[in-house]
Amino acid sequence: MKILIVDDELSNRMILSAILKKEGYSVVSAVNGQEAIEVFQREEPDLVLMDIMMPVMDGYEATQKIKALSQEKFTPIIFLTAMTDDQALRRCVDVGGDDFLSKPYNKVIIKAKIDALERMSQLYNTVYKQKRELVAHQEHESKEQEVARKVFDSILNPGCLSAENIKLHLSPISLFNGDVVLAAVKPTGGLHVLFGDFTGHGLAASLGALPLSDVFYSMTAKGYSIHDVVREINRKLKHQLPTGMFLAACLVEIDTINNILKYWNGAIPAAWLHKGNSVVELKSRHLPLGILDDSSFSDKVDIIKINDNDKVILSTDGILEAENSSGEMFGVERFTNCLQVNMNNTDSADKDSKIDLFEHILDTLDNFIQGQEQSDDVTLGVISCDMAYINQLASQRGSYKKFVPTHWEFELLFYYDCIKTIDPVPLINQIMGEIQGHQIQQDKLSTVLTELFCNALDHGLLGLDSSIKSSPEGFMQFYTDKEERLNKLDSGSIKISVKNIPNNTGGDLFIIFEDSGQGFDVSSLEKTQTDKESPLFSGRGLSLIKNYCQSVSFNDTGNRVECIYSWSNS
Amino acid sequence: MSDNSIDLTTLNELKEIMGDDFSELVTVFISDSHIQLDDLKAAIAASDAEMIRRIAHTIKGSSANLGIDHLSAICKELELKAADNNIDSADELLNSIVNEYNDVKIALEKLI
Repeated sequence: MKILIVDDELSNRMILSAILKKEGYSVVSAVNGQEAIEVFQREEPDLVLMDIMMPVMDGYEATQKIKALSQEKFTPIIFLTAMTDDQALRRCVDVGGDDFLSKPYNKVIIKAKIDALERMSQLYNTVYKQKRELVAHQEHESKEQEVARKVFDSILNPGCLSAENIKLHLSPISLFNGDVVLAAVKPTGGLHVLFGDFTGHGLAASLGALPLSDVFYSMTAKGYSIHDVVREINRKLKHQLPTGMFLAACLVEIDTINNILKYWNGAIPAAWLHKGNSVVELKSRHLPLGILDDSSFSDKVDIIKINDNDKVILSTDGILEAENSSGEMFGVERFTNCLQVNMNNTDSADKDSKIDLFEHILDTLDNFIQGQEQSDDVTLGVISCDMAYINQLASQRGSYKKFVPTHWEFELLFYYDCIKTIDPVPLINQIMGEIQGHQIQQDKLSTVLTELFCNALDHGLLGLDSSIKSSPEGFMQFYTDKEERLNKLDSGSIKISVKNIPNNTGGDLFIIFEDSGQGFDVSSLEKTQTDKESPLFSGRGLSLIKNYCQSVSFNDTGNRVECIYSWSNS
Repeated sequence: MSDNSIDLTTLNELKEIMGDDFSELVTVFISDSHIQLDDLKAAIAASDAEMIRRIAHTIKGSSANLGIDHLSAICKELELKAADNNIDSADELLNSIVNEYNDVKIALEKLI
């Protein structure tokens, strides 16, 4: 520990210096206040012993300057004084002195005071250090939030929030308060809007927005209605979010074909439809999303007839809970009161004199809170049901590719080792989806493809006998055999080809599965064709395939089957 | 020189702390004090109360450090009077201070 002695009297400095050195401190000295500042800056002592009355610059001034220089680090200053004058003592404290020491010096007292102040400076310096770390940490966190916000922005905003019929009040960091707003047009026309409020605050509350927007945008793009979208969101959030985290949400669909508003509201307290001469509450009839299992979840939507001039008002609870300086909340009553504007004033001639509903709500709220700091963000949206405009939006969306049925064909060849690990059905579906959009209904087709692949593998390559599956023991035996033979399989292949011949409403898929196996006696199949209980071909799903396909035919050796499957995009 | 001129306990303690530097300390004290006494004489001749107060304060402190209590006490008396701007009896006190200083000087020189 280094100590600076400031005294103009050489004898005083000598005595103090001797005492301090004997205690193991290193000592530097200055003969007046001016020199003390210089030495302080150069030597950075841990403690200063300061005389008061000195030429050039006295101890008061030097103390003030030294304290100003060492704001980041606590350096105790002890005044050397005879302690006779109360005013002088007061002044020592006022300029930043931490303690006093009187002459003649007593080495025990000096040591005790230095020890006490050293403890104090350790405490102070620890606090300073922690404070610096805290500040650095806060800066780091706000930078991270900024980055996260940009990432979220690009993920959450492929939709049409900026459309002219949507007016939105949304703080840039509202996402970190759990608020989320999504909007997208359907490929067939119509608009989906979601107002959501995740439980909690901060980054954790915003994370749920990722699966949410994923489901919302992809399902809307595929043309699903909100009851399907809301069910899938609930399923996904229930599965992915931790217990206790959920999403209060209101989904609305402006259906421009039937001029109706469909809505599903789970715990959003402020949702209304302004119909010119009346206001209809879009009541919450459901629990928030992410709580119920799919089996107990209700996707029931409510339906209201709408006109072009109607407006949907949506808000998270931030606006209802906005407080004024006396702690009063804005509340539902004030909110609904301010929706009473423009009543009985639906004449288009009066359009210019109408008060803008969105601005009116925000102005009313501003007047109420009077600049009071709010704990939650105010998120408000007013969506006009201008149906012609919404339809125009849908046609503008280049992102929805128009798929028309086209000519194409592809062939896949899987060898024995690949067959052990791959399921070709999703792969085929994916290829067709890329080429033809999702116009080909995949549930029946997937069944057909799965059966065809099983037949080619089980009977063609593995030579299994399905007939043994008719008894429970045989059933188990079949699958034990299958596993064993599949493991041992060291040659062979299955070739799959799919060709589309398009027509006006869809097309015919020519599906061929050809395996390298022994085949079977096709004539015996033809003989038993009318007998569906034939043990020879049971379990091959042939009747299922025949039900779904226009035709099914085998080659003579029985290792190649061709089916024609018709599809339509309507 | 009175009996309470020098507190031998303080001085002996100091001797122990200072070791080899003790004689230098005493020499420094004697010569510095001499200079200050000259300054004090000049300040009193000029009736400069503030200067009198400062010098008396300095000698009071440095002599107290060495356990030279009586000299320190007279200087304190002068300091307080000068602070009150009461310097009528300053000449008288100056005489006492000079006499005491001379006595102490002799006693100290014997120690080193």
